[in-house]
Amino acid sequence: MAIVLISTYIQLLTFLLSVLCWTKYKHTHLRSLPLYFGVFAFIELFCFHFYKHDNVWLYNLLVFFEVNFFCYLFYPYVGRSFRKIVIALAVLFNVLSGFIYSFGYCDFWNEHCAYSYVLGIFIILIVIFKVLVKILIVNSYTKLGSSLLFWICFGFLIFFATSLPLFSISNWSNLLGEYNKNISLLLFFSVIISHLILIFGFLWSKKKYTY
Amino acid sequence: MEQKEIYLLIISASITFFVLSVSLAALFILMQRRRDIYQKEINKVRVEMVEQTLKNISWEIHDNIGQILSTMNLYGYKIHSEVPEKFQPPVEELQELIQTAISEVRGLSKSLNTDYIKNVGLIKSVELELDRFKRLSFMETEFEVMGQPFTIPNDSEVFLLRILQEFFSNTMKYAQAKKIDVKFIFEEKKLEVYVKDDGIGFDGSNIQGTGLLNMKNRARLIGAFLKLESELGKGTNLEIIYKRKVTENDE
Repeated sequence: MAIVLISTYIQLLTFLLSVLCWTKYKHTHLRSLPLYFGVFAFIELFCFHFYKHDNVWLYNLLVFFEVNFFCYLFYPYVGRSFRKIVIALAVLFNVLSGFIYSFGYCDFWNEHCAYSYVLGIFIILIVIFKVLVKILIVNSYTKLGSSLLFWICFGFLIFFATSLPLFSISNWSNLLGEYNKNISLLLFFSVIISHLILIFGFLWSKKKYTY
Repeated sequence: MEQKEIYLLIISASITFFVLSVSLAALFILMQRRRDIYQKEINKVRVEMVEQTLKNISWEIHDNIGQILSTMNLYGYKIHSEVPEKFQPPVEELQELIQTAISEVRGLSKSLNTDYIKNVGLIKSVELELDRFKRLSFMETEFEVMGQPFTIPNDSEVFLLRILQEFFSNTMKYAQAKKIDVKFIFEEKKLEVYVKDDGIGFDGSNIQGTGLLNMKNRARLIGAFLKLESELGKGTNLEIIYKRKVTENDE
């Protein structure tokens, strides 16, 4: 129970820090980050306290927001040649997910749709990997430790890579039975680790030189 | 597949991905560090080449143009003593102009010569530089040194002066400033340099000039923190924080 509480409130902490440290990155394309953290912190807290059951549709909806948001957020950082591919991946995700729900492969309201999650996470991981490579190539002679973009990529890379196998299962209770709780623990653990990295990034990163 | 097997499969896959992600990030940091060291070496060589070129120009100015002007000055004296009295005022004016030119050429030669900077030190070099602006009526200058100055290694002194010269040069070329303030604050473990002009400023987010990049690179080579801030209509501020290094004199 404690780990659930921690993993929920750490998201609120990340959101608060993203707002407090906004001046560090308001001149960059990362300025919309508080929106992402705010939406997630609000929904997690809302579901944790008031809407514990039958909330799966909300998370299915969040995946759409998440994938499109990451494609938008990292769009300027992937390099010119890859930008069209990012748009294509976002469109592909929306079309395929819409297709999955429309044709009844998944029940949007009652079922965790593994197809949509896995596709979305794959797209996000590809984009993050591309951004990391770009940071390495372009940001020569810059300390990675003080780059917020690097910590954002690293934090989300840890979360999405670790949770990919977990999200590939649609119905945890049926498939895992008594092991369901242990798997949930792993998910909470990955949330905590990734948010610790993000928090560290917000605190440790420096405002870029103003020229 | 049994429940336990699925469970173990997911757990092991998650752990594998986790370890892979961490390793990937670590690898990135490692590669970046190696790249930084390499880049630093390249920059050092480049700056050394620039310094050598400046030194050569300084010698040329001093030995060549300086000598010609001195000879012209001697001829001036000769002409002055030989021409009728009514022609003497323009000759005197000419002599004054030659004297000014000689002192300007000497000043320029000194500010370009690394050896001279190393000999007279950073504070004196900045003073000379600012005096030159004042003499040429480019702008008003104010220079303040606070605290007890400590010994700065020669290379660092040259780099600090070059950063300041770059800033001064940009102020003169683009800022339309009337005044420039320079403040050195020597503390026990660091030197803080603040430079401020009252010019037109610039949009800090749009400028990517080579000169500004050179300032940044020079600061990094000596391990100094450099911040340049500007806003349209509000002038430009430069802040350098140089951490004191132990020199032979300190020991």
